[in-house]
Amino acid sequence: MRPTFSLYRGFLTRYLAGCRAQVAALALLLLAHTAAGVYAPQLLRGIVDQLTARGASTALAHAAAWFLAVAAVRQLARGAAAVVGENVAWIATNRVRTDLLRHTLSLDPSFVGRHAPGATLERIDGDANQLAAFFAQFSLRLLAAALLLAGILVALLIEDWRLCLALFLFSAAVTAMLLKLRGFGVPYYDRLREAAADLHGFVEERLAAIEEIKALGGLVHALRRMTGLIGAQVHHARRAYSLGSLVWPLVNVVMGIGTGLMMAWGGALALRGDMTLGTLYLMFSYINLLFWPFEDLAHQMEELQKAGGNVVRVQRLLDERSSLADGAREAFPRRPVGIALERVSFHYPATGDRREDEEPVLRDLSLTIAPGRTLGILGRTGSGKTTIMRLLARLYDPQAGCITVDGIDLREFRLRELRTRIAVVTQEVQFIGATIRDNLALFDAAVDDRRIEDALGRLHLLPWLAAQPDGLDTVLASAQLALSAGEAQRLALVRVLLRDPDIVILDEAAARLDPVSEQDVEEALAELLVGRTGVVIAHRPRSVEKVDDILILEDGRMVEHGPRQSLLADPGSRLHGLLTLSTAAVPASGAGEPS
Amino acid sequence: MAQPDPAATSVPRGSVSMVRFVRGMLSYRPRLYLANLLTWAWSAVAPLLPGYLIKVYYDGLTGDAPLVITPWLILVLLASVGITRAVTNFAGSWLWGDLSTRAEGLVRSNLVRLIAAKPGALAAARSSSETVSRVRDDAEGSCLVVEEMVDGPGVVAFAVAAIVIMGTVDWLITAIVVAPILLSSLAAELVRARVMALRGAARAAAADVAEFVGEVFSSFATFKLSASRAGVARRLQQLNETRRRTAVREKVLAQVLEAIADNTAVVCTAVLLVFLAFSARGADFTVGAFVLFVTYLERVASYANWMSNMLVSVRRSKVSVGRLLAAAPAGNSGVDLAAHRPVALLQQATLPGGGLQTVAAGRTGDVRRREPHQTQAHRSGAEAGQVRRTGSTGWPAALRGAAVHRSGEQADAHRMEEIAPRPPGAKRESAAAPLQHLELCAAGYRHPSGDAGISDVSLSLERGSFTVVTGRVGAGKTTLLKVLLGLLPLQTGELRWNGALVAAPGRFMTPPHAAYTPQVPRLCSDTIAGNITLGAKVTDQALAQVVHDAVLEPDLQTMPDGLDTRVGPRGVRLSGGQVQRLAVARMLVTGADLLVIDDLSSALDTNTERLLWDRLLSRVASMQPTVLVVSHRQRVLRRADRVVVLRDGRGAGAGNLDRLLADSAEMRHIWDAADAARRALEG
Repeated sequence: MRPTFSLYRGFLTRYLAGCRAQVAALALLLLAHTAAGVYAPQLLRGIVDQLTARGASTALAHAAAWFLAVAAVRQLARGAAAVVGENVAWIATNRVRTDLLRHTLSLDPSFVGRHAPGATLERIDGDANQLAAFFAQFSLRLLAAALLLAGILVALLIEDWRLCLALFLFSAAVTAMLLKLRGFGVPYYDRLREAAADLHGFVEERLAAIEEIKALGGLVHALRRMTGLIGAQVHHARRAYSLGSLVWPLVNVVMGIGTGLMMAWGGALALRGDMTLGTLYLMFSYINLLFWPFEDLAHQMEELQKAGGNVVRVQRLLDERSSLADGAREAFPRRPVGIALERVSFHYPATGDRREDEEPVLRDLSLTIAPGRTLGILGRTGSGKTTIMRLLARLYDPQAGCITVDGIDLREFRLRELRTRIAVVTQEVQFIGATIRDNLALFDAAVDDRRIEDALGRLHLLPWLAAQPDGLDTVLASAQLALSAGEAQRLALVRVLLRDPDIVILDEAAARLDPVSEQDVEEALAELLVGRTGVVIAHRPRSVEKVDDILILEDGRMVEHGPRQSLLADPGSRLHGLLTLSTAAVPASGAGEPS
Repeated sequence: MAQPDPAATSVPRGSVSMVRFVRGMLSYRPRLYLANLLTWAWSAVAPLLPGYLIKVYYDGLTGDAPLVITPWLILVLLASVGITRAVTNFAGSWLWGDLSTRAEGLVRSNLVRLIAAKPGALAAARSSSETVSRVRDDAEGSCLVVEEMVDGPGVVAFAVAAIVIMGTVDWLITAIVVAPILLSSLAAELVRARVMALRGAARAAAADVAEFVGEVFSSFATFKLSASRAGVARRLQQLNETRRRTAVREKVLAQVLEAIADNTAVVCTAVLLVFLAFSARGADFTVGAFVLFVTYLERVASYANWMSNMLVSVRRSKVSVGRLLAAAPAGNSGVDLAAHRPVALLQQATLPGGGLQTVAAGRTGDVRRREPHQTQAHRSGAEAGQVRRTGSTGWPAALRGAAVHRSGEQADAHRMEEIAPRPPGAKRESAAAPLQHLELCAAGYRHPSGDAGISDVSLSLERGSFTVVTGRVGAGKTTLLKVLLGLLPLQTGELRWNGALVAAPGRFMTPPHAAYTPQVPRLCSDTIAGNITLGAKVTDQALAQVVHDAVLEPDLQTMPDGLDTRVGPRGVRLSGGQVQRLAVARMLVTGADLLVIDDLSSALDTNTERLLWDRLLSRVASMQPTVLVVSHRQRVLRRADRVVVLRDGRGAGAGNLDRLLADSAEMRHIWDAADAARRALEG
C-alpha cells in the first residue's frame, strides 16, 4: 500500500474532528507569525539603505525598536502555535491509539498467532508516536512554510513584478521537485521500522523467558541472534537516513543555485544603479528566509515519509478484518440453555502458504448438551478438545456444520453478548499491572466493589484480599509474582462469577493445582456449574469426576459419548479402560535404589 | 556479568558516570565515529563561507573595496557551496545511520546481558513490556550524548571562527553584540531545569501507556474472551489523557526556552543598530560588514542555543542511563552499558568454575579483558547477522545426517571459533567435577512482597537419585527450586557442590551442571528444534534421543515440518502439553548432571505422563543424572528415592515415602487429598 493523498486526508479529518476551534486558533497564530516574518526584512532593507546613505542615527534607533517589536510578535505567535499544535496532536494520536487497541482486540485469535506482543506494541504505541510528530509538526509546519512562501511572493510583487516572477518560478520548481520525491523514502523507513519491530519483538520474548534461557545456558546464542538483528537494523538505518532522506541534500543544491542566481542578478542591477543595496539585501534575506521553509519542507517531507509508513501500517492494521462476522441478535436465551453441535467440521486457517495446515481438527462432529448438564471431554493432546472450546467461545467458526444454543446459531448473536454469556476458564491465568479491581472486573465500570467482595468471599479469597495493602486498589505488580497457582486460578473464577454467564467452559482449569487446593477449587467449580450448562475439558479422567456426560475424542472424531455413570458401569467402555489405567499401581521400574 | 554479592556493590545506585559511558561509546567504533565527526564538523563550519563571500561581494558593489567577486563568480561560488553541502549531508546521514543504530544496539545488548545477570531476572522491573520500553526508548535516549559528541565539535568550531572573522572587522562591536548571546544562554539555563523535571514526568506517562498496551496483548486471550473491550479502551484513554497533559505542559516551557534562543539574534541585531546609530565607529562600518554580522550572528545565536540543548541532551542521556541501570543489577555503572565485550566472553559466565568460590576471585577479569581478535569477532557479528537473517528459513528438513547447526551460524562460525557452543554433555574436562553430592543448607528466601518464601530449608541430593518435593500450594516448592538454581538469590544459607561452596549459583547452576524445566515454560518464536537446542550445536542423534525421551515423537509425526515447525510467538501454536514436553526435551538435551523439574503433570494426559516418567526414570538408570522434581502425583511420589515435604516455606519432613506417611501428618494430608480425589472418580 502506498500512502496516497486521500489516505492522509482521511486520517486528518477522522482524527482532527472535534478540535475545530483549536485548529482555527492555530491557523490565526500561523498567519500572525508569517506576517511578522515577512515584515522584518523590510525593516532591515530600510536600515541598509540608511547605512548606505549614512542616514540619521535616530532613524536607525527607531528601526531597531520596530525590529524588536516585530520579532516579539512573531515569537509569541509561534510559541502559542506550537503549544496548541502539540495539544491537538496528542488528542488525535490518543484517538488513533484507542482505535487501534479496540480494533485489535476485536480481531480473531489468528492475529495474535501471527504477531508477537512486542511487535503489536510497536504498532500501537510506536507508530502512534510517530503520527504525533506528523500531526503536531508536519501539517503545522507545512502550512507555515506555504504561508511564508506566499507572503514573501506578495511582498516582492509590491516591490517589483520581475523579482516576484523569478522567485515564483524558482519556488514552483522546488515545490514540484519536493512533490515528485514524495513517497520516495517511504519504503526505506518502512523497512527500518520493521527491523526495529523485529528486534524489539525478539527482545521482548527473550526477556519474558530470560529465567529459562539463563538456566539452560542459551544466553550466548540469544545475544548473538540479537547482534544479528541489530546488524539488519544498521543496514536499513544507513539506507533510510541517506537514500530515504534524499530530499534534504537536493534542497541544498537548489538553494545554492537559487541564492547564486538572485545575488548575481541583483548585483548586476545594483552595479548599473537599477536597484538599491537595501533591495538586494531584502532579496538576500527573503531567499534566506525561504531557505527555512524549504529546508523545513524537506525535513517535514522526511517526517511525512516516516508518517507515511506509519499511516500505511496503522491503516493496514485497521483494515485487518476479523474472520468472524458479528451477529445482530442481542438477546441470549435464558439459562439453563442447551447446546448442540451439528455435523461440525473444522480446520485451523492456514498460516502463510502452507497447505498442510488445513488438516481437519474436528470431523463431522454432532452432539448435544442438554440444558443444565455438564459434559466432560477427554482425549489425547491434539484430539480436538481445546478446539471445541474455541468454537463454542466463537474464537473461530466451523467450516462446515453449525453450533447452536437453544436452537439458535452462535453466529447470529452479537459477539459482545456472546462473550458475556459464555465464560471460559483455562489453566493459563493472566493478570496485568493494574488494580485487583480492574483485574477482576476487567475494566467493566458497572461492576461494583460489593459484588467483587461477594465473589471473592464465595471462593474463600477474603483473607487473601485482607492481606493486600490497599484492598481492591492494590496494584498487582509484576504479574503473578505474589500469587500462587491456586490463588490465581480462583481469581480467574472470580472473574467468571462477576460475569454471571449461562455457559461455563473449563479447559483443564485445575490442572496446575496440588490436591489440597485442587479440592478448594473443585468445590468452587462445582458451585459455578449449578444451574448452568458446562463443558469440562480434561487431560486426565479424574478431572471429569463430577460431570454428567462424557465425550471421548480421537483425531477430531467422537469415539464414545454417553452419561458418565452408565459408561463407568460398562466394563467394555473406553472410559472404564482409561480409569483402570490411571489408578493402577505403578510398577517400580528402574528408578534407582530405594533409600 | 558479576553477580551482585554484597561486597561487590560498592558503587552506589545513582552515581552515573557519564564520562566513562561516553568514552566507552566513542571507542566502540573509533573510525566510524571519526568519520561522522569530520563530516558533520564540515557541515557545521561550511556556512561561514557564503557569509564571507557575500560580504566581499557587497563591499565590491558599494565601492568600499575593489570588485573582487563579480556577479558571475558569486553565482558559481554559491552554487558550489550548495553542492558541497549536499554531498556532505548525504554522506553524513549514511554514516550517522550506521553509528547511531550501532550505538543503540550496543546499549541494548548490554542491557539484556545485565538483566540476564540478575537473579530472579525481571523480579525488580514491573513487567517485561516496561523493560521493553526501556530497551527501546531509554537505549535511544542514552545515545543522545553520542549525537552531541558528533555535532558538538563542529558547532564550537563554527562559533569560534565566526567570532574571529567578525573580530577582524571590528573587535569592539563584536564583543558588544556577542554579549547578549551569553546572557540568553544563562537565562535559558534557568528554565531548563524545570523542563527536565517535566520531561521525566512525560516519560513516565508514556511508559505507563506502553506497559498497559503491552500487557493487554500479552493477556490477549483473557481480554478476547471477555466482553470488556470498552472498559479496556476507557482505561487506555485515561492513561492517554495523563500523557497528553504532561506532554503539553512540557511543550509550553520548551517554547519559552525556544523563544529565548530564537530572539537572541534579533536582540544582537538591535544592539548592533543602536551602536551604529550612536557611535563614531558606525561611520567606518560598511554595508558588507553589516550583512556579514547579521548573517553570522543569527547562526552563532542558533548554535549557542544548540550548545545548551546539547547540555540538555547529555542530561537526558544521563537520565536514560540511570533508568537503564535501575533495570540492571545493582553495582553496574555506565561503563557496563557501553562495554563492548564480544559475546564470546559471556561464555565465561556459563563455564564451570566461574561460580565456584575457589575461582571466583578472578571475576574482575571477565569485565576488563578485551583481546583484539575477540573485538574483531564481535565486529563481524553484525555483518554475519544479515547472513543469518536472510538464511534463517533455510534450516534443513528434520533430522539430517550432519551435526545440527542453526542456519547462518556456519557463516560466522569461522569468525567466532572462540565461542564455545553450549556443550551437550561434552566439555567435561573444563567443567567442575561431575556431581556426586549437592547440598543446600538452611536456605532462606523471602519474596519482596513479604509473604511467601522459604526459610531454613535443607536439601541433600546424591548422584543418580530421584527426589520429589511436595507440599500444598504456597508451601514454597517453586521458590526452593529457584533458589537452588540461583534464579532467586540465596538470602541465607549456602549451596555446596561436592562439598565446594557455590558462590554464584545463578552462574554455576546452568549446563553442564544443572538444567531446568519450569512449571510454565516460555517458548520463543522459533522452530521446535531451535527451542530445544537454544542455539547449541546438537547432533541429530542426540536430538532424536531427547525427542523420544520427552515423548514428543507422536506430536512431531503429525506436523508436516517436524522439528522445523515454527511454534509462533511465545509458542502459541503448540498445546500446553506439547510446550511442557518440549521444555523437558530442552532440559534433557543439555546433558546436565542435575535435572530440576517443576510440576510436569499439569497439561499432560494420563498415558503421556506415564510414558514420560518411565522414560525419564530409565534415563536415571542408564545415564545417572540426579533428578529433583516438584510433584504431588501419587505415582511419582511412589517412585521417589526420597520425598521432601514443605509446609509454609519450611521443611515438614524428608525421607522415604512410607516412613513419611507414617510420621508426617502433612504428608498424609497431601496423600489423602490425592487419594480422595482418585477414589471419588471411581465412586
